[in-house]
Amino acid sequence: MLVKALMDRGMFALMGLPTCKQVEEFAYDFLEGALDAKTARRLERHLKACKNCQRFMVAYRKTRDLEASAPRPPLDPSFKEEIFKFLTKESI
Amino acid sequence: MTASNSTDKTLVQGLKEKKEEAFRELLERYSEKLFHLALRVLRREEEAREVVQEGFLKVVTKIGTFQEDSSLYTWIYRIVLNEALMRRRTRHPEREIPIEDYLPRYELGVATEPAPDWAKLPDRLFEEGEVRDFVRSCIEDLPEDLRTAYVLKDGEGLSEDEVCNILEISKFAMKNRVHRARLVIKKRIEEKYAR
Repeated sequence: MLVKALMDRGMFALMGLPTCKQVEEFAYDFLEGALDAKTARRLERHLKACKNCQRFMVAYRKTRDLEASAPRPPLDPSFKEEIFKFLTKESI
Repeated sequence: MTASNSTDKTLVQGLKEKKEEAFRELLERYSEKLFHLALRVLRREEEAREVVQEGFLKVVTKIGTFQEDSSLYTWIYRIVLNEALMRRRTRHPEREIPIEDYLPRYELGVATEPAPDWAKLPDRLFEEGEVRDFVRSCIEDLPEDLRTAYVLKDGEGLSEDEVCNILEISKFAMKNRVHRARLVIKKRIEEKYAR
């Protein structure tokens, strides 16, 4: 494992690319589109060369989207009217 | 969106004067959003409705303290979120999960374990009740600061600035909380479904 880590690290360093750890640290800003163009390009090149980080990014993106896609139960239409009556009664 | 926005200014003025049309406008704009926010925090519809009602009453009674140069939207969100969190704390003692156990580990900048292949997990898997329930429990088990940031940013889809304003934290802290929440949820899903 250590030998492989050293080889991978050496390869990315030679290519002038971020490490896997840096890919994880940049992941939030990468998905937000908040990285500067140069860093984003280097990160994309790392992703092309590293299956592990490709998989990480797929999972990370999916996790970001999980709660947004959760079903939203509709609000009972009578609820607004109930609150309106409550507010007018309580606050005046 | 700030109260310098003319429609907000009119609404704030109307609420201060306790005008019925201002109450209706407030409810029209925010009922649905706040209900879903409270529901994400409390997971119980009845409680979420109660919290929204209490939150709106606070908004109406405290509107005199609202700073006109700030965002009405985030002020209202903060009130309801805090109501929901307070209610949750009374019935839900925090389960301290050791989040460090779920964060990725590296050796010389390289991940120490292979990443599971989520491409093998079909999208429909996440629509199944059991998986949804598990994902929900992963979110529930997060420490409050991580959970709240994740729910606002990824669940409610609020912008970074809105989340920072509602939680009154820096952008760095907000990103850090959302990022760690995602990593913990991801790891727990992998342990159960992607091995």
